[in-house]
Amino acid sequence: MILEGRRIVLVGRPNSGKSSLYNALTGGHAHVGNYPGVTVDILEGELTLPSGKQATLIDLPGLYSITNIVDPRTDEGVARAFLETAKASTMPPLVVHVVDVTQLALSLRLTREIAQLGLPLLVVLTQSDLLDDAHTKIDVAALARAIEAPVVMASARDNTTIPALRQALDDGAERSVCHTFNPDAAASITLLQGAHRRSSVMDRADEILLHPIVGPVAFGGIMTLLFAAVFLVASPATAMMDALVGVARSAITAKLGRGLFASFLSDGLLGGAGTVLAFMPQIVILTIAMEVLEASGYLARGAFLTDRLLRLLGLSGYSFLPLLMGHACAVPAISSTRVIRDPKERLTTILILPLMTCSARLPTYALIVSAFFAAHGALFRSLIFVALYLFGIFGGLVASFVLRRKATRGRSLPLVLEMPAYRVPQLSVMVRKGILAARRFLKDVGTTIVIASAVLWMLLTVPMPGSHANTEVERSIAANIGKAMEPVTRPAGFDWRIDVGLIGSFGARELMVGTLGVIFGVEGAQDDPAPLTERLRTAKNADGTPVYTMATGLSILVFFVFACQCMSTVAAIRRETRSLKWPLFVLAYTYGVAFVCSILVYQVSRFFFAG
Amino acid sequence: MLPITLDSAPLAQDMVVVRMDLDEETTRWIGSIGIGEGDKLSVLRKAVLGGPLHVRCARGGEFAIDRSVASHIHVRSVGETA
Repeated sequence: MILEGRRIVLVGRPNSGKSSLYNALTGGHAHVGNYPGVTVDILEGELTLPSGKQATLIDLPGLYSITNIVDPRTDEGVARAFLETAKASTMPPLVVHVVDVTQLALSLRLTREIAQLGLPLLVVLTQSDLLDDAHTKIDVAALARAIEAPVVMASARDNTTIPALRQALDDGAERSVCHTFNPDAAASITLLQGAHRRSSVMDRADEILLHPIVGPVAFGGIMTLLFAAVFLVASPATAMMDALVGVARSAITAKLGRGLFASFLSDGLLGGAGTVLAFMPQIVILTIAMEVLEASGYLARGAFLTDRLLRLLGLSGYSFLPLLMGHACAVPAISSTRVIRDPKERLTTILILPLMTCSARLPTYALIVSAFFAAHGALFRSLIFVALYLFGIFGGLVASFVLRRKATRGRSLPLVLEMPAYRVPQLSVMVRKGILAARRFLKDVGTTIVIASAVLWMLLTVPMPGSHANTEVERSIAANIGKAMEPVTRPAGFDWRIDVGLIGSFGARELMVGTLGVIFGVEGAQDDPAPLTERLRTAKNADGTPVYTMATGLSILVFFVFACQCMSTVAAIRRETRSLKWPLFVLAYTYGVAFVCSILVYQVSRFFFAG
Repeated sequence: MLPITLDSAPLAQDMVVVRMDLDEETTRWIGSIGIGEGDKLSVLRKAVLGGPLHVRCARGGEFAIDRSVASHIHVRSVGETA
């Protein structure tokens, strides 16, 4: 048989295991999760077949039916449009229908629809380890006869099955001609003892995790634990890395003295990029924790538990996954809103996603909490962290409530969401996700943050013409820009240094810590390098009063909860909404709310905290 | 016995869908996931405060289904005659 076009397309119902097979075949890093609708983009990878021929492997988002009426911008719409185009092609791809064997009869309905397109078809049966009876006989040959297409069994969790799958891909298939088989009959001759997914353990897990009282309490507990752990577990690692940066800065000063070049290296690069680097453990831990939640199948349970609450606020359980993903990074979360079938609900979720506490906020949160709440125990500080997460969620829900009554008014499509089987997360996938997060963060520090730190160091070193301030730093260009903003930002407790930090972090909020690191590094260049937390805490005005108090810290935290300081997010909103109006709207409302709330918090908390 | 709507169906009892009075788009959508006339299913649990139902389909697959949809799916116990 010939493999026409050398293009191979993975098609299947959501959560059928397509992306896992894609990764197993290409060695790729497609996002894999135990949640329907994880693949929202068309992924492409190169694949060498056993014959030595090259093929392009394409992973489509999941779809239940080709005949459904769907918004073309949803994940299902993207997959359907691809298949329609393939049907008209003179060199059609090989369509590989990945079938979850625990839902064989249902999946074969889609197989029949694909067959009706007349495309070359290969069926791959997966998830046989989830059958309730491990001895259930699966008659692959009978199925192949019934649907008149080749059938193989494979599992991404079992590497021994992959060579046979590669061979089947190499063999290819003819254009499908069998359009009329009965899915139920085909399923019954394939699974000789009937098949349901393994139920006893999963049923017991659901009895607890979806219990009317225990379920929501467990859900709240898991989320609290996750957010507190980000601070508690990562804190010692962060302190160690912070100390290492301090040692490196001392070594530079000892070796090169206090010249301009030493200042550039120590105050500019290490003060900026080095300080940010210390927060890498938190980002890695958060990434791994999110992976565990998603891969285990718990997220769909979260959607089930939160649907009613979200519905009161104009959203539904569909929005749960993107909103939770937004706690790692808003950019992929905005893409993942394609799982939401209702366009108005999808837009609302996109507009409130920048308020979820993404990992880029963590360095600033950790810095401010460590600097101004050092007198309190680690548990107290971790609770502040949890409160900040909750504050972001609360802000997002209030914004949704308002938006659904104004800008995005309209009905919501009701929730109909698949509840996947529980799975034990794969250690190798978790480790890979952690490494990828670390690598991405290192790349960010190594490029954007290093450049931004270097530019800022220059702006803090080069004096503004005509400036007659007392200190060298205060005569710099950056300080003069910050001072020009002070009359406006003073009610929120921000001085010129914070203002420069806010300018520096306009494009990417993680630059705040680096920016402050450079400012205090240049300002205190004559002193021994001290951690940034200590410099913030001990900074004094000319009259000896502290420059920053707990009120300032709270004001900065509140600003960071609300402001959309992330151009990548703004670009993602523009891409997904295909308009300039909504990204500008997000910038305006988040900055407006951030500034007003910062003023309120600063003015109120000044009465409670000294200064 | 007259059919009842899915949201008022007893828990853990095998039911069969006899009629659905939903709009065409929703009918096709939930039909494609495995809930259509003649399909067998059972309600495993109902979320509190009017939240969704957790439903297991006889053909495989479990779903969270909003009550506003469930209230338009008419079912009867398996074995009952019309």
